[in-house]
Amino acid sequence: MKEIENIKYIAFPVVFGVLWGLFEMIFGSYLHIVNFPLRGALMIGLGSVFMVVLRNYVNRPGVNLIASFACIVVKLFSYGGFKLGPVVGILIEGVIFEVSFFILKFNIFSVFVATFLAVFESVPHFFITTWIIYGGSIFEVYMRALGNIADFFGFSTRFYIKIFSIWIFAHFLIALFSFLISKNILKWLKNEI
Amino acid sequence: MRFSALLIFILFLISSAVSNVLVSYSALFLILILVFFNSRKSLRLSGGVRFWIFPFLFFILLSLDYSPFKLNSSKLLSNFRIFFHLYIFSVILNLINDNLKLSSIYEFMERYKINKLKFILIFSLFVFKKMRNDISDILFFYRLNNRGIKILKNLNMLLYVLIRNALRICYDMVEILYIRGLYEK
Repeated sequence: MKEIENIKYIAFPVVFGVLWGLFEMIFGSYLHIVNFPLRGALMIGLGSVFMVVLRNYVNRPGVNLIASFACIVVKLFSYGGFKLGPVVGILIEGVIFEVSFFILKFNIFSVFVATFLAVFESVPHFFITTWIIYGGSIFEVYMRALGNIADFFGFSTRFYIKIFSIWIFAHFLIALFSFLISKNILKWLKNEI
Repeated sequence: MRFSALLIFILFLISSAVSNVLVSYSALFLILILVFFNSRKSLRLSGGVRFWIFPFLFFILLSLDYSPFKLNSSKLLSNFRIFFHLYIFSVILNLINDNLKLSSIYEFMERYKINKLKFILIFSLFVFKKMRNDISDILFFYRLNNRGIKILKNLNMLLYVLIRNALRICYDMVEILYIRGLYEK
């Protein structure tokens, strides 16, 4: 019996990690190609659903990390080749879920916290990856470009704060939807058993 | 190669963090030289020339002063650094793509006796093949039964079916691994 539990500890996270990786590979690459806004947050939201269902079935420390590793393995076969941003994002998401479920145990509150933390991770993630790819001075250029746009259209120079707020609100909505979908799927699976 | 890779990584971090233009340019040029001697084909323009036209024009336009209309050399130097940084980043990704192979990851795990990760790697690839076919079948029938707005409306059901299918595969895999004794403790 213990051996079956040990096999489940490896088999479940690998299968869910591969499922997540396939989604990253198909939809993630497609969203990347069409430059879809908030693609990172959307993919994290989707990954969160898989992570929550996985933890519901195998509630042992380490499963989310194994799933993120399996997802990265699949992501390496992605049409776009190796992409640093999503790979780091997947790894961070695994760590966030692992730490959240380790500290708060698996319950509806920890699912809520972990989903929100994971989706909002894409906010600092955007700034850090932009800094790595373009270097520190890119933010000065962005501010200068925004200033020029504001001058041209006669907007207030601080109009970007409104855009930033909309961006944050969109993350909030994605996190909320992910949480509700996870909750519903857990309910359906429970009723089925 | 291992020392060069480490040096490239450190130099790239320096070029990102340091605001001094001269230091940043020097670090980026050093990376270029190191890549040139290690893997010359990684210096290619990833995404083709057309991909690079837009960022190039964007940084040129941002270097212009409009009243009076002239090219600001200090802005140009700073903006070109960002463009150069982007190119070096793509070169580093090419370098990783060209030199990192799945077999080398496997060899690394074999050498350092990371058996669990090795097992996960092989198992992931096995499951990947199986799941790819299953998912394409599910998506085909989903598209067949859900036309128009229904394709978005029933997305939660699609997700549920995919998860249900994944769970079935999980139990099948547990059974196979147990019966055949393939699992490494």
